[in-house]
Amino acid sequence: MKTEFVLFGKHFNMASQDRRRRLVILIYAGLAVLLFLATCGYANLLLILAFVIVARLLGGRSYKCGLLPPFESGDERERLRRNQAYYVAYKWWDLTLLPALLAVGLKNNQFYQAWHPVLQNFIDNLPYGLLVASGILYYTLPQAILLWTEPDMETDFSSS
Amino acid sequence: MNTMSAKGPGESGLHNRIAVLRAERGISRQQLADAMDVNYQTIGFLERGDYSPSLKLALSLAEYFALPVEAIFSRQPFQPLSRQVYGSGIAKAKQKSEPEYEDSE
Repeated sequence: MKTEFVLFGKHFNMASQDRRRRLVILIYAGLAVLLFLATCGYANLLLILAFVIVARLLGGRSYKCGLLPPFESGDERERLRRNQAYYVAYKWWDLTLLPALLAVGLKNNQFYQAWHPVLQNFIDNLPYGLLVASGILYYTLPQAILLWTEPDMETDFSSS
Repeated sequence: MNTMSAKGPGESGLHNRIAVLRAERGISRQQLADAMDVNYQTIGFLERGDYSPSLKLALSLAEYFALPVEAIFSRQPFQPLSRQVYGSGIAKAKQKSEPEYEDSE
């Protein structure tokens, strides 16, 4: 795991677990807001753009940039941690699809016609939004778990 | 107890002497990491006893330090090297150097 990342020329120290946790919270809070706006019919492009930035920022997968090295590389401890993160991330991931299925059911009920058009529009888009949320979690959760759980990193690697 | 000679067990449940061996030979974590083909952070995790190495890595470390693997890793806490080298002589010398106080009453 890298101990710092560069964003728009600024260097951010990410050796501390606390900072990484705050970054994870910030990322998911931002994505949740954008996802809500997208479900309401706004900010679709912004959500896609934000997702691409987040995916590159987190790294992992096969990107060479980002906080995490490509998952194909790494030494034995990093591979072990990656495997654990994948296991934890996908153990219950299928449950994230349930809200989308339930949201489909919301549309097919007797009260739907009585609801306000804005709410109806939201309910119409809700399954889409929840599926996108599942997709985002599928793609980012292992990396987020690693950033969340890795302890404070040493930055002075030349020390003996 | 000399903490350098009895690191761990941390999360791994293994005690190790990597830090003291490295200090003894003047090798940095980065140098050891390069020799073992691992990240320097992994050496830190090993030294703190937060990670159990694979058999391959443990044997590579033993080969690198030219020591048997049980001299580097142990499930039991290590004795300080000074005690191992000089045995109970240190304890006797310590006893001699300590003044004996007599009860004044």
